[in-house]
Amino acid sequence: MILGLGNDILRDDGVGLAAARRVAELLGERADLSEAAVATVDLLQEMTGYDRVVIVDAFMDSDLPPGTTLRATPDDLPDGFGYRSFHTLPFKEMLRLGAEIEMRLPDQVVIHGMVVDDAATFGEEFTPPVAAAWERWAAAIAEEEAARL
Amino acid sequence: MTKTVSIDPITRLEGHGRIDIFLDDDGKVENAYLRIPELRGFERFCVGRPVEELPRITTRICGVCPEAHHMASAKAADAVYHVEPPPTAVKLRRLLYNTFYVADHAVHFYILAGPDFVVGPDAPVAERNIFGLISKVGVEAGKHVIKSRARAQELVKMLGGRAIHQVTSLPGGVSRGMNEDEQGLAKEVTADLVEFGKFTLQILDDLVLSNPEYLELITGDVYRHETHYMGLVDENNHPDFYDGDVRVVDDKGVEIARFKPDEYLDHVAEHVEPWTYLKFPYLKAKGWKGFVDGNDSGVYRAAPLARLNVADGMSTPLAHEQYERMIETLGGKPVHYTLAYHWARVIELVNAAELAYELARDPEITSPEIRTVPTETPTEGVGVVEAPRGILFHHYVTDTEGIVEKANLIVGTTNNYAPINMSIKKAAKALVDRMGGLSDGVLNMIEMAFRAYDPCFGCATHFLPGQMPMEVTLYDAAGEVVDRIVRN
Repeated sequence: MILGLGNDILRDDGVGLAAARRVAELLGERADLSEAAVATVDLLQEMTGYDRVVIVDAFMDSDLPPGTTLRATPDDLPDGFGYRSFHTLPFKEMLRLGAEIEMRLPDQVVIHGMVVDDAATFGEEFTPPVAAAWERWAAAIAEEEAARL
Repeated sequence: MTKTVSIDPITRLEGHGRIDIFLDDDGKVENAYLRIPELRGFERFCVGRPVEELPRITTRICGVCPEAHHMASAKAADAVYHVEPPPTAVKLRRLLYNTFYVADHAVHFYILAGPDFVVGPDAPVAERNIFGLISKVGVEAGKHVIKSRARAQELVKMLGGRAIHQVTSLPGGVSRGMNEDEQGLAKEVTADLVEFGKFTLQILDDLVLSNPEYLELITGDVYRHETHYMGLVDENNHPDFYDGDVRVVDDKGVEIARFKPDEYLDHVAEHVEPWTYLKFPYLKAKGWKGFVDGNDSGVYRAAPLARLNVADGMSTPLAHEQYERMIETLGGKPVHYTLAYHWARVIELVNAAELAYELARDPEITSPEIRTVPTETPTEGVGVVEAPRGILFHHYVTDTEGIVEKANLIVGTTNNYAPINMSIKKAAKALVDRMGGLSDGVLNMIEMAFRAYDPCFGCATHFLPGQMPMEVTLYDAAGEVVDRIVRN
């Protein structure tokens, strides 16, 4: 499953959704597409039953230039990392919760992030560095996944 | 010189809020603020679009409660077109909304607030989380919580067309009805939700209310403010999440205002502070007197406890029984204890489940009469619902073609922004001064002061921001930064 996260009316925040849609389009029937605005505990339900889930999301990092892409697995993430929302848990905690309550979670989770510039202004256009980079990023993710299928 | 201690990030807070605690020269707490980020330009984004698009667009403001924006926006669009949705459409919207309430309140009680009470406010941070909670209540109970929320979401998806960013409510009604098979599913799901409500009451009883230490914490002075309260009520003065009059009671519980949603500008004004972009709504009749409680203050509170304080009872039997029990246990209305928000939230969860079950069994809910097609010239309209985190206003002005010229929103948590700051300051003053500084336990008990309100300030909350550092900033008396220490 390709899981895009983001808000597509909050400028660069929508890049994960756009890229996930493109990846799913390139993979055709070989992968399902799912979208979410926030990574709430409902994602556990969404991921249940899949062997591999590829998360595509915007990434905030003041040290890296916008348009930079990052790739990680949950094991790479420090405890407490990410998805800081009042209505959810850090990502690794969420997966651990799923395991504790005996949900059938994917064996493999890969997280792709693109560093974004502006995700605090309502609008539907990406900033130039993100606009220039996202299609190439989506194609690379699709290529990696196609090689596994 | 003033020393500032910043706690950033706030554990589990939506967006990137930050608490700054200002200490005076003697190391005593002088002030405390919750600062939050700003999302820019939503009104401008709406201008120039057909108003019927807004119920679908405004769901994207927030990934946590899109259902609340969908409903408030659809109601505002109904008002813009001067159209009344038929009874079945209203029932379908209410069914969706009450089901959403159960799911939303469940997350707060079990994942966010639960660990503080069930595991303990001063438990080590490594245990004060959902896993600590599961170890207390058992794996089966954990499964029950996740399954109940998933079932509620399944029904929301069926009624709203999508699990998130619902699309079915539009000016004059809804775009999809319910057939008898779907009604069967809705009855089954909502019956389960009522059982889930009873299960939650039992957990609350067994693990929180039967513990005298917790009752003492709830009724202590640290978490108490004598404010006014605001909420939507029906004709019987029962809380109504979807519709009704706005009722305001004062710190003594006396009704001081009751108005229609479109009169809100006559009653509510917004105060601006230089240190935050978010505004502070207050009661116009009282005026802004600062971050203070009491009868003269304009500060009011909203959301679960406020809704119960403005009410004369609940609309469903089990919720009403629990309402009376809460009021009696806590010494009568209005209940001023901030931590009682959690109890009120559980009562609302039960109320919403009972209402959803009632609606799912209503024979009229499968009627094909689901929309009144608008025929009037569009002008201006206000739509109001009770979002889980407080009363939510959407106000649109359009041209005669229905193109939006102006949009204004007062969102749920904003209503509580002033009291949240007051609660943080009071807790910080009591705890930091008493304990002689900051510790993990003290920080958590300060966080508990605002966690009770279930605040939600952000919309871009799914980011992977990495681990934010703890930042301590020193300011001089003129407000200049003289030092900044970052602890990774």
